[in-house]
Amino acid sequence: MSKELSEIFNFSEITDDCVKCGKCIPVCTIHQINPDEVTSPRGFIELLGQYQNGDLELDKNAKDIFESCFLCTNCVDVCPNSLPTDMVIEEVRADIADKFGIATFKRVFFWLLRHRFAMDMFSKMGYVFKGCMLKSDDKDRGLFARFNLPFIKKGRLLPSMAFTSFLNSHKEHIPAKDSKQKVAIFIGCLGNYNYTNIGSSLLYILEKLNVEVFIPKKQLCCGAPAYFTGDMSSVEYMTTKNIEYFESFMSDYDAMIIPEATCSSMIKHDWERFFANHKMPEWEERAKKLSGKIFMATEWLHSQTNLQDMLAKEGKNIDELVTYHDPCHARKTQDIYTQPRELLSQNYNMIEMSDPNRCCGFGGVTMQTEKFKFAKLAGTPKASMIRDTKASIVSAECSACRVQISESLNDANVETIFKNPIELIAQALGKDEK
Amino acid sequence: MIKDKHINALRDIVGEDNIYSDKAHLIAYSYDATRTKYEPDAVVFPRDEDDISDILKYCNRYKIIITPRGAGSGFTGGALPAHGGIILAMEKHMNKILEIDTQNMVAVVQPAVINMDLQKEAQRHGLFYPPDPASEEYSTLGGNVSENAGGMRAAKYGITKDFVMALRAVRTNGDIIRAGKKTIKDVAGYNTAGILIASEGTLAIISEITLKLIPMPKYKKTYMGIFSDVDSAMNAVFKSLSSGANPVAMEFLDKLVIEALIDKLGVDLPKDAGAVLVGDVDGNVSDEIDFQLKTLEESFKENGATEFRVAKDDDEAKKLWYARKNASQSITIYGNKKLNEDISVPRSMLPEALRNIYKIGEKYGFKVPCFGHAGDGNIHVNVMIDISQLEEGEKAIEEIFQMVVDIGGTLSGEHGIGTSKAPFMGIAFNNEEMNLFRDIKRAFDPNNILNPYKMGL
Repeated sequence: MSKELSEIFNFSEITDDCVKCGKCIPVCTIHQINPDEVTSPRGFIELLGQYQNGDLELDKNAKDIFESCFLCTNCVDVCPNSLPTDMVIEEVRADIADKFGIATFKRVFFWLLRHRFAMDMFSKMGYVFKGCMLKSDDKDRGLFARFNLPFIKKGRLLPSMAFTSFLNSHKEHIPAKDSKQKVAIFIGCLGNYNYTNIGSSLLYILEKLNVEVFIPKKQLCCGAPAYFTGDMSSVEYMTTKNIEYFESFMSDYDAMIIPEATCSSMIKHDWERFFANHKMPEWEERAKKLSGKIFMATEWLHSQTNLQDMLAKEGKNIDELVTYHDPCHARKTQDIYTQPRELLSQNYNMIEMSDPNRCCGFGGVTMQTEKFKFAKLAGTPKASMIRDTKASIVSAECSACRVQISESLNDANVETIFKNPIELIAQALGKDEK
Repeated sequence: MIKDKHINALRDIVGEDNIYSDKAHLIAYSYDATRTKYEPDAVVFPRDEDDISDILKYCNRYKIIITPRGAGSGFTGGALPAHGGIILAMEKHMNKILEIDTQNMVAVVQPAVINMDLQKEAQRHGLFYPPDPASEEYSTLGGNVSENAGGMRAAKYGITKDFVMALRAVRTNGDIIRAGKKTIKDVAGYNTAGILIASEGTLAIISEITLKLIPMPKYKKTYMGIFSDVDSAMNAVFKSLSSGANPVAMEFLDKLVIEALIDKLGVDLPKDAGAVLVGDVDGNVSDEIDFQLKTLEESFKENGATEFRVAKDDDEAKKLWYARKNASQSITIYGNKKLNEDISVPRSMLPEALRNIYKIGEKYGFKVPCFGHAGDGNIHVNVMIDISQLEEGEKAIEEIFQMVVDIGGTLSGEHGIGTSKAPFMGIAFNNEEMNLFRDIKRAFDPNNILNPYKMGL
């Protein structure tokens, strides 16, 4: 990073814009489980301002506080001035990373995300050797830790690794007969290595719709995990490499579709914001140019194809009760929540949970490891509202939500299983479940 | 600064996880919605009433100042630790709804329950808690009681004090007292709850609140009347109320606010409108709604309303309310700093109060857009200044307060006094009255440790 954070981002400016009304506090995910002003949006903003002024030291205590934010953006949604609390938290995490370093296991993880070949190998090894540390779940929800691992307690449900990743399982070009539409797919890391059925389901749907597909094999991680953890050099690497690559083919395609809320929100909105905050105007412009063609998968399928009619012809052909959870990065940051519901309701009976918009509590890599106690607490109410619906399936277009919700349901002994809406749609169109 | 030994002693009472004196906590508990900042010496989270009692006993012995705090969303500094000491923060543990009693139609709550959470829980039982301060989504009931919060529904249903049946509270000597009962009639003894309401945490710490609930009305409709000036709008208010209309809310916007709404937010209102009245009517039979709307329409038209609108559905209702709900935000076009006060006058004096306010504004060269509760005479006065004109602005405010008191009104309808309005208490109350307040304060808190010097005491 070429510039000091203080030069490129002025926390005290944000602090002065905060009118201290307190509207953000009851909707805040961390404040709901730790009702203390220090872990609330209004508190974060004031503390960041004081840190900027030099009145608050970035010590272990402050680090813990700033790492407790789930980045769910509920606060941004209700703020009368729309203050970007999530963004200032992401930026201070870069300072935390500078000062305290990034834990080795996270550094290894981000390095793997930067290097596709190494990650592919790691994933294969994970598939082969998983039995040593993890045992399979009989309901195919994932894997259980056999014993305590660093930051992972015994008995926790984790996503399985696929032997062959999505990107390595399919041809790069999948033509279609007299197709009028051409799309590229960005799959996301969890979809690539863990939940590979999402990608094959998406291909199945696109084939039915007669859409030509390009699977860009050299795509890297969108950078979200590193961004939320403050590893800004990894973010810079992945975003710029991806942009250069995407520019090489996107002029030939109508859209890049992404069956993942977080990746799509990151690429569509946060790339531009990241470059703006880090005074990289040329890249900001390039990210902005790309963003017009970035869509969440259900969003694009709903508005640009006749999928809904095609599904309507099938009728309510699947006897499962489905409840839809709104990923923070779909509903709050992209205003996408009607599209997946309208598509799913063609073939499934739907039921709303009491608060579908409440954050599942995934919170990012740090929250899932060092701060897992908070993730667990935030997950409990989500699991119980899913239980109350008596739905057999909970769906959300986000694999981070899948990791967290599957674990929360397992922890609460709820039988409901998780599926991406893309998987459910493909199933309604006749794809085998596997 | 309080000594470490005191912090240790308090830690012995509440436990390791419920007391903090690190810099981050001192910063996070230094402010409220006034945006003024005073750092406390420590933040203590009582787990229950017994903790509060032990804390008070200890602090009373060592004369440690205590400021109770709910959501920290007040507009007058009630929750600011203006003289140091400890913040008694209720949000962490004292936040539970203890009971919804459907037979007596009351709710029993801890002080840090958020107003809206009670409204929602009551609704699940077909019941209704009417007080709806603008902060209803985030302010706490303990704060609402301590400031005697109002809201838009006050015109029909009244304010917080009209719903408090009973309180439990802790005195500075640690005594736990009960004030009031679940009974509708209760004449035994002094009305202690009445004294604790609006006492802004200066007399005792409220530990439990019993609130009256009413049946949820089945029907609701939203109306809006447009007038050429404030006088005809107010005449319409008087006429409708005396003709038997009983609207839930009768909110008004003045000409400056209307212009700001049109300019800044493109709200659909006629450019030449001089005043707008907007509100809801509710009831349990649809005939009642029809009667209310007819009475309002007749009274409005008789008094020169140029338009009378009724919302057909929820979406239209939201559109009509949009103007009122965004009034505060729109008027920033008149100045970068807003000095906002919530004066209250007898309903009949509202037109005269507004005329006088505009005159004072003109004298100082400030725009003073006003909106608020026409049904109950509570006006939100906004003196719009440039940040460099603060001193002049405050002079204008003082003149407005004096005028309000002269015509039979008072300093605050809902926000309270706290630190922000303390200097003006002398305008509203004479020495004898202030001395009575001080005597009452001493009777409850002889060592002056509870939120001291607030309210001009």
